[in-house]
Amino acid sequence: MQTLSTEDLLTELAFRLNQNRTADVQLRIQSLEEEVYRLGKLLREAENGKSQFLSNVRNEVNNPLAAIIGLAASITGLTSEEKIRHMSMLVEKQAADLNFQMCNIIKAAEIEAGELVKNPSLADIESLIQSQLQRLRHRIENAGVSIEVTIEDQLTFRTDANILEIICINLIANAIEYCGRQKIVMVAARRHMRLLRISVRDFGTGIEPQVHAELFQRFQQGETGLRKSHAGHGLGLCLVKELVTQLDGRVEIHSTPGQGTMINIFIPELEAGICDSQLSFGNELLFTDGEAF
Amino acid sequence: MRISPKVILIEHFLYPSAIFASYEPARVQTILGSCVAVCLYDTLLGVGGINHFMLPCWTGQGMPSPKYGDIAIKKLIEKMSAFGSLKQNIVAKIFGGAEQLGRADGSYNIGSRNVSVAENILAAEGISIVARSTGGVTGRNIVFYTHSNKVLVKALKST
Repeated sequence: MQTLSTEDLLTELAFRLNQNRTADVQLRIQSLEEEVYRLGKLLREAENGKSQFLSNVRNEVNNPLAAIIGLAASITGLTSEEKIRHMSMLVEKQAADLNFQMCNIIKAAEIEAGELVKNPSLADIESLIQSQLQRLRHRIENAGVSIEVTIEDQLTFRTDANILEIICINLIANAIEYCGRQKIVMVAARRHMRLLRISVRDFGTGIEPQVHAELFQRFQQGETGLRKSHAGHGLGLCLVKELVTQLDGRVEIHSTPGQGTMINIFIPELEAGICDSQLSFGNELLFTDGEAF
Repeated sequence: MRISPKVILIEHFLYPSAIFASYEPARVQTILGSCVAVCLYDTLLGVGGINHFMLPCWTGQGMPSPKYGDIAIKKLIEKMSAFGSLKQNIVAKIFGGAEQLGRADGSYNIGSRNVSVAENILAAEGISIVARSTGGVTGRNIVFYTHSNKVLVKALKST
């Protein structure tokens, strides 16, 4: 057997250590490459989403606007009261649609700019939901959907009513859009422990479980491009999730293909004027003495 | 530091994921746990702004909102630029980033990651950090005066 000198041993050791290090570096490079690939994919998706959104805006904002302008122009030339009433109704319908879409886009822009302000107030949930149904009445009539509303008696809740309105109108509009042949949408609201639970359910086509997470992504719809058969920007559910998160709540989705979809939201009560509450700066019980920076 | 003689007209409570910047003197309050707030102040114009972000970086999920440090700091700098601020006149103060111990949801180290994102982005933008109160294990209640760059910090008492 060959005896190794100390020098040989050291050389061998250095060689093996070096090999290890090379392997480590290679692994690191591999994982970085994977990360670059993942980020590149996200970037491509974002670019895609943006162009889809822009072409969507062209169709879905421009068309109602063109209709409004055209209808308004022809109303001025009409004398028959009945025709005027009919045309005005069409204008109102198109304007309501446009308003709904613009509200979503503006809210999304507010969130992205960090300018969403929360104004807690005591909201009457029944009238809040009824007024959203009123805003959606043209869609409801068009689709021939019957809406079943179940709301706990005298349900009031301290929250930002405007944010909750946008959450509700989007959930209901989605359910109307995707309710399929079973033209029923169920809206329910009640207190669940100390949370407000609102659930909106349809019995339409449902959604495959593997795409549930994607639903909350911006500009995602079941179908896109030329095959797209549903209106909207694919902003609704993403906005719902962001707004619910802003209210410290959570969204749950239960959906089975062929059986329909139920979306539940749970939100806690908003502190009334947090500035003046127990968290106020001068509170000696909760905070130590101040320090200036 | 220029102390503005103007009276504070605006009182604002800054919620997480929001940004506030004002040309008029304002008093902004926010409460931080593992979140981080970056206060930017233009020493020449005497105007300031503050953000409050919860997570280090946007990963492409959900909206690119100021909930994420990378977005929140960029947007705040944009807002300052809209006031006419130049980066070389802007200084920063950073607060928060406490570690909430015993969190089992895999969000370990969120506080220090938030702080390091703030440090890295500010360094990359060439904005120096002139004061800070970061890390530790207790939350902070801070008040920022946008016109004087004064920040009062109170630590939440540990219970």
